[in-house]
Amino acid sequence: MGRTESYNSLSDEELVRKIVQGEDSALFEVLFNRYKGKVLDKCYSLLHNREMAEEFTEDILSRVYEKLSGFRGSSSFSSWLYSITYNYCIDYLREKKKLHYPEWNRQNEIPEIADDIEEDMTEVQYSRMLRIMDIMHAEERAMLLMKYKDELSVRQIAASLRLTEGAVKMRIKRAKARLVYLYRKLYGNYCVFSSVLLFDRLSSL
Amino acid sequence: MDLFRSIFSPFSRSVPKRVSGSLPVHFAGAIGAEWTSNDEIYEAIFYHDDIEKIARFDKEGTLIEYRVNINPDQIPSPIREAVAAELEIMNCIAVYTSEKLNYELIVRDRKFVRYLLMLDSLGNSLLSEQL
Repeated sequence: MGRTESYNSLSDEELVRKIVQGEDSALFEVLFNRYKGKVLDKCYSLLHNREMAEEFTEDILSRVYEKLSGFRGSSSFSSWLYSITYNYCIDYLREKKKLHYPEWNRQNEIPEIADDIEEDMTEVQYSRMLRIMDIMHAEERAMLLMKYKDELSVRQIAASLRLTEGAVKMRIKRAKARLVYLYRKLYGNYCVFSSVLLFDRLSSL
Repeated sequence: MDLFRSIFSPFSRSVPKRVSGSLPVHFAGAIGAEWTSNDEIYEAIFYHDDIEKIARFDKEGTLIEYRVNINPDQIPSPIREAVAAELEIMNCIAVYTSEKLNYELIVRDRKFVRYLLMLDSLGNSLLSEQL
């Protein structure tokens, strides 16, 4: 058995407490192994570049180790880690890739806002939704993942993405409206275009 | 599949009829309302005239305040002019209460540092803090 394997049964928070109290910094290996894959998935879902996602994962987990003493336990460790992960990726995209949400949103207005989302969107095809998520703006994608996959609070999302809570709520609303619009446009019964052609066009946005 | 079920599942929070019924009174034609509540304050986020809005009601259904997303090209001149030239407006929300209208802005400088600005309707600064 490896040196840290006996600690695998400890909760995240117990591990953090032991590391911060100086019991054994090698315990971070347990957290690292527990979360490396999840952080990598999140980075890849935003960056769409495997090599970069792996590099970011190492950077983020290193940063988290350095900031461990700042973890107050007001949220779960995973929520805290994911907030840092999204912040790191979105900041990179904003600064280095000139990702500009207001401009993108202005150029991609949603022509139709649906009122009946709840009636017929619960049986959507997962693979189709993932394709649509991939062509959405990274900030909208991040907010949907933060809210509905990682179950971060609006306050946590706002702090992570450096927005206000009102802005987060409105952008999540818009992201959902866009998801529905694109799904129906691409896959709905009234779709008169070739889905593939339209998808290709949207992918270039 | 859980992700999309979660995104599209109906929101289950029960809202008193006198509260939910107040929404169309103030915002005729509002669609896609999602409700949350906290400390007897009920909040709806919805589309009205194709714009995202957030309205807060008390337990009697009285409208307390509402917020309207403002497109960048529709920001009123006094607000736009009150923002320093080197700052870029990234988000603007009008905040209406019974007594006043304020604006909540997210701006960023050339180094991508973001700030929250609260301005009154004349563009006077009420709050400025780094996000």
